[in-house]
Amino acid sequence: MKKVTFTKKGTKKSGISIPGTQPSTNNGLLLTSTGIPSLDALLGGGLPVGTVLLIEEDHTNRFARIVSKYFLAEGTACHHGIYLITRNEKPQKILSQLPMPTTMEKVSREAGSGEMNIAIRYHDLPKAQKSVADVSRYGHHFDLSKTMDALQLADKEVHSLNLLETIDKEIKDIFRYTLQQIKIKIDTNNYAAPSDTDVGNEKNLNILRVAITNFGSPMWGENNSETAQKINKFLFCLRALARQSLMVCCITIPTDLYTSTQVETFRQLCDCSVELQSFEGKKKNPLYKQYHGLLNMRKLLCLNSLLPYVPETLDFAFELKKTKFVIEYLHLPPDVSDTASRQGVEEIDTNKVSKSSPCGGTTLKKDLDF
Amino acid sequence: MFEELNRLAGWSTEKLPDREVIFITDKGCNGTFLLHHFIALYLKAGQHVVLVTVEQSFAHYSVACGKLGANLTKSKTEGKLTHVDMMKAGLNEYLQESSPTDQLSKGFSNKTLEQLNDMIHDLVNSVPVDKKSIVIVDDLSLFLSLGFPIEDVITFYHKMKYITRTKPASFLTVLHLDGSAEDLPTLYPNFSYYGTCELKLEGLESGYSKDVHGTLEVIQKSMKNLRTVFERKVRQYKVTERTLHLFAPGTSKAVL
Repeated sequence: MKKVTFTKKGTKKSGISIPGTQPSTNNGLLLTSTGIPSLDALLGGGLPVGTVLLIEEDHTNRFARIVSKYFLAEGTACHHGIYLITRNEKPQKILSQLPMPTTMEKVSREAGSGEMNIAIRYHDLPKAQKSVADVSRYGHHFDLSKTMDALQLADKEVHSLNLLETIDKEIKDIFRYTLQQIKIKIDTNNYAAPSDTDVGNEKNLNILRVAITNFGSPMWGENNSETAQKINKFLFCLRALARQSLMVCCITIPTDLYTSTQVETFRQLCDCSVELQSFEGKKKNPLYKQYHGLLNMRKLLCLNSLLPYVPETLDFAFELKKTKFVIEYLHLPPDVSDTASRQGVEEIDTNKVSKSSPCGGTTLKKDLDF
Repeated sequence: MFEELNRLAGWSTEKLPDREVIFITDKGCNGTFLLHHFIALYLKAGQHVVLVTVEQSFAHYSVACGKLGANLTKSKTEGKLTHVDMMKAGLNEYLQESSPTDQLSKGFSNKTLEQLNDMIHDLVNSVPVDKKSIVIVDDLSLFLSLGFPIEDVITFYHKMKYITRTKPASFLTVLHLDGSAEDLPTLYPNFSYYGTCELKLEGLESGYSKDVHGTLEVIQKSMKNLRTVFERKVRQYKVTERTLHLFAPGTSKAVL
């Protein structure tokens, strides 16, 4: 029954290697990074080529934008084709803010830093406040505090579609027009998925990264059920198009504007969905003070297998650090007040922070009584 | 193949679902994994499968069913499996249609479901007389999301029921209850009226669990002495890479 050797069955992509991608070990999928290592880990290693990732925007759109920027920056670092589609603003505005890639050594030094300052027996235990992913084997790391300049983007295949310019033109259906433009891009630059006969001739293969920001915002159409239906059709066709080409798509939708049923349908029409809930401008639960918002996996990617890749938990939080965007397991902060009894702390540990180390989030605090 | 589901519902490669209209409903979880079971069951029994894909590509089914021991690509070349790619058809239609007269820009013409019905009809007719067949539409509720009138979907479903009456064929489809809530009050009764077997999946109320993925209720409708008899069996389930585990509610290995 069990097959020990790794055989890639039935996929069109067998035997093909494209920069910036790696094959998944069990499903014969070709994975590519989203640019955020912790998000890759949530998706089970990365985003498979030929899929659509839906980002459900936070209400200020600050963090969804960052995710899109990472997605595009990863593409430029891997020399993938980039296609940015915007309707609310000029695409150049986003392209001029792409984060700068950092070198690997710097990242690994950061990861390995931190002198041992607790009892030696905890040395091998994972740190409580661990980011979801370890240093990834592929994909790049980016520094959000620096941006790539135009010179660095000059030799990359960066294209954009500014739908603002089309407002004067007579276009009956902006959604269909957008998809037609993507299709043209795929056809002209030859991003179509190779057939089995092309396996030997793989030099020119490349991935097209399509990013659509603020999709379905009021600029795209009136906020009614008719627009929702157009979005449904668009998403359905976008996925169909992605399946037959070497394309990954990251699409952000302001889901607050739609009813929960409509949003549920959007999720069904995409391959995986990530919901961002930011705390900006809202009264924040003091327990979450270390985070900038919560991240929920709304739809898990289920491709080439019976069940999706399920991360250890489905509740995550995200934090925007000075130089990077990190997704972490959601857990409560250490309870170090004088009045708290040990009993209480232990209860929290076992119930809420079971994913962290046995000593919960308290390892980093010095004023603890062991 | 999911042996435990076969045992529960009384199916096997010798005793396939006979002229049944089976529909899978899911809420708070995804029930599409059950489709692979039926594809593998029919192919292993040497019977015919008509697979209409709307939600996933053929490559997905090919790899996933490979894990259940059915080789879809081989069956396809042998003619045991016919694949109708509605995904691609929908895309091509959407891209080509540029008639300015179409104000509502339907995306798909209303004929699509009718054509699909005719196509399935022909395919089932072409199956050798001594063979059984199953028609699988991987997501019928998706048509509603794509803007098809609910009447058309019901008519299509009715015609599929008709095929199972006239041919030794069964019909299987999925209805996602989360997304199409607006039309549900009309759609669901129609499904249960024509359906002979419902596989009802529900996620746990308490949320996701690693050891129990949800509950599966098999509702089988049959006629006995001019009376309609409903047989209900409730189990909790857990899907693994290659199989499905069923157990009585509350008796997961994790809690015992």
